[in-house]
Amino acid sequence: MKKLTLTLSLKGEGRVRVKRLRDYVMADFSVVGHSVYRKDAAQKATGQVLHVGNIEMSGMLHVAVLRSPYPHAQITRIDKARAQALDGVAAVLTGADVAAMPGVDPYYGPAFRDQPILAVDRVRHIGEPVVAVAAADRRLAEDALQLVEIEYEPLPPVLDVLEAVKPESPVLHPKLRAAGTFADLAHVRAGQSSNVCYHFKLRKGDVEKAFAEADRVFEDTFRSPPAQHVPMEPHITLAYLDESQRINVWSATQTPSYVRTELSAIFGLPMNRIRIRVPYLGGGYGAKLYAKLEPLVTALALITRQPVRYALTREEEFVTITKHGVVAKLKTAVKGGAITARKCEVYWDTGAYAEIGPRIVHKSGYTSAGPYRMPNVWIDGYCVYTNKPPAGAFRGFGVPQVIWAYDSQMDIIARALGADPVEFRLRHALDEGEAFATGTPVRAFGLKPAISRAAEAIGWSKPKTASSGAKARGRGIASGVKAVLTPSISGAIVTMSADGSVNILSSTVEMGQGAETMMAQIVAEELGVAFDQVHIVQPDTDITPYDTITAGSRSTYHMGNAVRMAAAKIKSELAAVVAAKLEVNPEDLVAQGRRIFVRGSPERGMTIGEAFLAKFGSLGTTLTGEAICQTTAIPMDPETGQSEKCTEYWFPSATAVELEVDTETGQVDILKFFAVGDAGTAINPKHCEQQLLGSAITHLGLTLFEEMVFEEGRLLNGSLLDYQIPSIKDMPKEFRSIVVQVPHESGPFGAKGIGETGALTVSAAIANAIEDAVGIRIRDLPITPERILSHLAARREKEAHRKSS
Amino acid sequence: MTIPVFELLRPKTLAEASELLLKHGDDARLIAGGTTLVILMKQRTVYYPYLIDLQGISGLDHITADGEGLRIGAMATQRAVETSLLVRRSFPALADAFGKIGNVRVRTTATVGGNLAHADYRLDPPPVLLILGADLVLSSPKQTRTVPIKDFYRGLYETALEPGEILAEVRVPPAPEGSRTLYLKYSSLSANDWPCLGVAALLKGNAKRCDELRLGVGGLAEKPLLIEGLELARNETITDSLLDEIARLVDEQISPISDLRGSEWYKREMARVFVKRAICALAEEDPHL
Amino acid sequence: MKRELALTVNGRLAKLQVEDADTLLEVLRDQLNLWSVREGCGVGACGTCTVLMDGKPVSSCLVLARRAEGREIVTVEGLAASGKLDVIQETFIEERALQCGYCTPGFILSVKALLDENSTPTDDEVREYLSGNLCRCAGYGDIVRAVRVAQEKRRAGAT
Ligand SMILES: Cc1cc2nc3c(=O)[nH]c(=O)nc-3n(C[C@H](O)[C@H](O)[C@H](O)COP(=O)(O)OP(=O)(O)OC[C@H]3O[C@@H](n4cnc5c(N)ncnc54)[C@H](O)[C@@H]3O)c2cc1C
Repeated sequence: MKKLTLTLSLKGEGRVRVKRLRDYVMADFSVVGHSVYRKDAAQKATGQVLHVGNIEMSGMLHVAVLRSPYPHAQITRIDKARAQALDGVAAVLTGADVAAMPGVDPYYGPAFRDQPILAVDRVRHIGEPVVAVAAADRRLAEDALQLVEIEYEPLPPVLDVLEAVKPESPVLHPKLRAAGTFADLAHVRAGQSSNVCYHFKLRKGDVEKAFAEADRVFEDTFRSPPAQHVPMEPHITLAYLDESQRINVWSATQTPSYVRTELSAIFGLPMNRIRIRVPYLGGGYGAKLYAKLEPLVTALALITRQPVRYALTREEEFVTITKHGVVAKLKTAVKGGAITARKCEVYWDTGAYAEIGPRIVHKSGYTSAGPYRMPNVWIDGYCVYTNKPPAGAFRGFGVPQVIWAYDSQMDIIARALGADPVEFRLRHALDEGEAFATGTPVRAFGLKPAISRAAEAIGWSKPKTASSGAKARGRGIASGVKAVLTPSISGAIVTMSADGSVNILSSTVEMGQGAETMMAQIVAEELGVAFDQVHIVQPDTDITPYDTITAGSRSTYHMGNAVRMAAAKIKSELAAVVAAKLEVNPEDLVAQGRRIFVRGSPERGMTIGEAFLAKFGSLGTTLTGEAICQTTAIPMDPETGQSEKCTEYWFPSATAVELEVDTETGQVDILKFFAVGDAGTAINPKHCEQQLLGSAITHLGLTLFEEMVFEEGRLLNGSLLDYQIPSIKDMPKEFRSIVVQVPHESGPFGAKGIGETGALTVSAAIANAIEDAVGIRIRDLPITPERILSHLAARREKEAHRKSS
Repeated sequence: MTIPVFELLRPKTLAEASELLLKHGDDARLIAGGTTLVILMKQRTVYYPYLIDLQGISGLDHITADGEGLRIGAMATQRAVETSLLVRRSFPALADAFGKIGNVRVRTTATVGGNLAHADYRLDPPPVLLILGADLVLSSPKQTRTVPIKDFYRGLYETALEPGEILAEVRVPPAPEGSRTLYLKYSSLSANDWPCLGVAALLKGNAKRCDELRLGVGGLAEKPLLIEGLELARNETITDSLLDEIARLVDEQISPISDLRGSEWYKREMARVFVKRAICALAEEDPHL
Repeated sequence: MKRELALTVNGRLAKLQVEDADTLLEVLRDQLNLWSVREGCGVGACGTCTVLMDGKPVSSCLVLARRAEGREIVTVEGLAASGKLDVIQETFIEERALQCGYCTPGFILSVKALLDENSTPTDDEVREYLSGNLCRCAGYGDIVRAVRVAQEKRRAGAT
């Protein structure tokens, strides 16, 4: 095997030699399957990486926003005169001002156009933007806010998702307009008469009959609270008008293409009058999807004709986007030791604005019963408005919430039946080709291997070490699956220069997941060039083609395929030249080691440079390949949720944990943790490991302590002093990942995706281990020590009561 | 978030600082490490047109010891106390309590005086200073007075500091011969968090015979508390029933505030658990046993 | 009112005009364009704005710039000023101890301060020292390994 040394260079002469990791080697390929180093490692280690926050422009204005102190209220008066009079204040903007801008639609949103750029007449959550100031510096903008007077008339707030669906509940949005932006949301309809903005239905078989005939029926309600993504870089956007008066936006967004479409719709401008550029993101995890600050900052740039930048504070971040709180009611029938039916009623708290809620309720909704064999399934998923900050996608797109419910219940059932939880899951897990609840046969479905590998790693069949004193030890396992968003589109352009160096033009956003490295690996492999000969041009809607979204574990498959196909076009052009010169069949040629040659006889061929010269006879020439990867789905029947193909691929997940519960305090200490995921072919095994462990530890926090705590619609822990995320001290003592590789026939080199897989099954595995340790079942997240202790206390009381009576 | 414009006044002496405090009244506030004040000013929770900087006053950051015990200047950083060999040798629990505050950056910047004067109900160091019987030296142009720490805390964010007074020094008398101390910080959310509660214990004697027991608790009332009535443990063997009795005593004196880190019920439960754990740990630790 | 401030950053003395209310973070970014220093939480909890002040880590978001006068401030830009990466930076790259990279400069400075103070920290000491630097990509395992490798390299004489 060829030894590959990668040289990372730092500005100027500084160079560091980096040896290659030997842990992972895929013999067939020279770059794909190898844990090559991140493209961006050196700039990140030196802090020189480009973020939107580093872009300064002369005359740039800074923004501060006055936000609603009420969860639900009518705005009766705004007086901004004093703020406007302040020296250095360029603009003070209200919702009414935005609505008065000619040709501007003041509302936006990916599913419904329900969210105002600034509140118009009504506010619907605490923290909703009401007035924006653009001023010469941030302090001045913040000072100016103090001078704005707003009067409100409070309205009754709707704060609980189960209250919100009642007919007598006040309706947050009496009228709704469908956005019509995304193909997969084409079925989302306009019109409105309740707080349920979207209702997903799946009907398979006859659940009622199965319940009637069942040996046993299990009914449980599971809850997970709203939570925060906490990318270390808060949202930030810079907008200005260029010399031809086009709107230019630099933004920390995971969706450059979508943002352009949205701004075009809001401001009524042709797409090519808008340019969105995205440098590196300091994390996203779903927080930076769709339009966030861009509409407001663009409006301010249009009004002031000056560059405008808005960087959210962490406190503002908390009221900008959240993870959906969910109440999931599951009813499951068992007959003869097997599950015969499951009915899921899932209420998604989408907050004041739908954001991407309907997609989550649809895409995650259809997996609510789990990847298990059951002849009868009934799912109702409700996307519900409440007077809380809007909820969106968060690493797993809602699937962690439904797996929390169904895989907790899998354990409850297995225990009640006296079955082994692993065996029970394996017995019900869908086999390759079997139909999912939607009627779609599953393909490249490594669920059983994931469960088995997790069980093996934790030593499921071996006895546990005993704990001492007040500690009790338990093991737990959970499994589940997510399906990739389908249909969706990724376009890419690859250009090659005569020296063999390559540029990739792609709208996939690098936010830490290693997408750039993945693309470069695939293209280097395809074109037979060295990994460091490939450069990635960052998202720029002027030059990088459309991509649906950087999220949902879709980039490696979709963008990976697109860049591979684009590179293949260049390869075939070069092959045609070489074939003609050497008088061989182009199909017999391979690209490797920067040469194109006859398979098996490397001396019969040309270097890339020679091939270019032969084709163009001139220096400095380029070849360009372009491709689009577009996946398709067969739309589900709106009444039954049935479709022969609802998704392009699946990512099965399993988690196994061993933990100790302190029965006096309720504290949980995770001793061993295995995150298992089926990635298809691992393009970069080290990055797969990082994705699995990273999403796992995030969900460890979400399982054990993360929660946005609201009181009357007001957030009580809206800063990092109070909202806790896992620190290095919270990392489990033994913490490993296992990458299962069941290749997908149409994935690039067999790859699927791995960005969310590690997140999916964490919560249920931990709850299952806690029951194993102390015999109590927690159905509400987060599983804080207090929650455990109060369950233990309740049980003790019950036992005492039983003994005394 | 930015801080609204204010003026930083930089006195050279304590007397000058006090005078500035008196002169500007409610318009001025002392700034020590600034870690709390800067956050409150940024959030615009408080605003003072003048901040009086204690950093330029020399002789306020000492950590020294003599026959009368330990003296810590109000401007000594929390990290300095945590890492001081002097403190670690004579009052390991005190070094521990300071070492368990927030994170290393906060401890490097924040001061002993800022911590004590802020009077948050959950701070880590006060319970330890309570069991050690520390005195606080308060300085003003009129007088310098010494206040036992248990009289310093009046209520939620309320102290005995009078207008113009500055906390200048903490004096810790020598601990009773042969006694051992311990501080247990319990964080109920992430391992990195503020305390749900903190328990400091001092024990002279061992499991067979308790000569003296003192307990200080944080996070269990509006202010840090020194538990009273522990004479009942004197000359007793530390048995489960004695521990229960002590826990009951603690339970009677605390009045926990329900917050994000635990309800009143949970904090009462944890007070019992950690008081017992602290006493048992000290009892078992006796080198003479 | 703005007043002159002489600030020593990465070995160089800069003469600046600042408000008393300006934080060190604001001055380092807005005036000196030291982009490695980033605001993540504004309350000293996340560590993305970590700088070294006389060799010790502080949250620059909680330090008033004026109070940093006369102190030696070091940011990550100062570590590789000669063009050669610090051994800790090099090790973070080799050990894959970064993903989105937003927290990385803060971590690197904290690790430097840790190893400067204590060349052979225990596991608990490493965890305690770094517990105030948050990483949401959650590459903590890789970061701990990087600390150990850097520690070994420093022992062998690397800088
Ligand atoms: C992220 C974070 C985590 C934290 N975690 C913990 C924790 O786990 N446990 C804990 O105990 N604390 C914790 N703290 C609190 C920290 O200890 C305080 O911020 C600190 O004690 C305040 O000290 P300072 O020197 O910065 O005070 P400053 O912010 O300068 O002042 C605080 C208050 O005290 C007054 N003051 C200061 N010095 C004097 C004086 N000499 N005389 C009279 N009044 C004075 C000031 O006027 C001001 O009102 C945390 C803080 C942060 C930012």
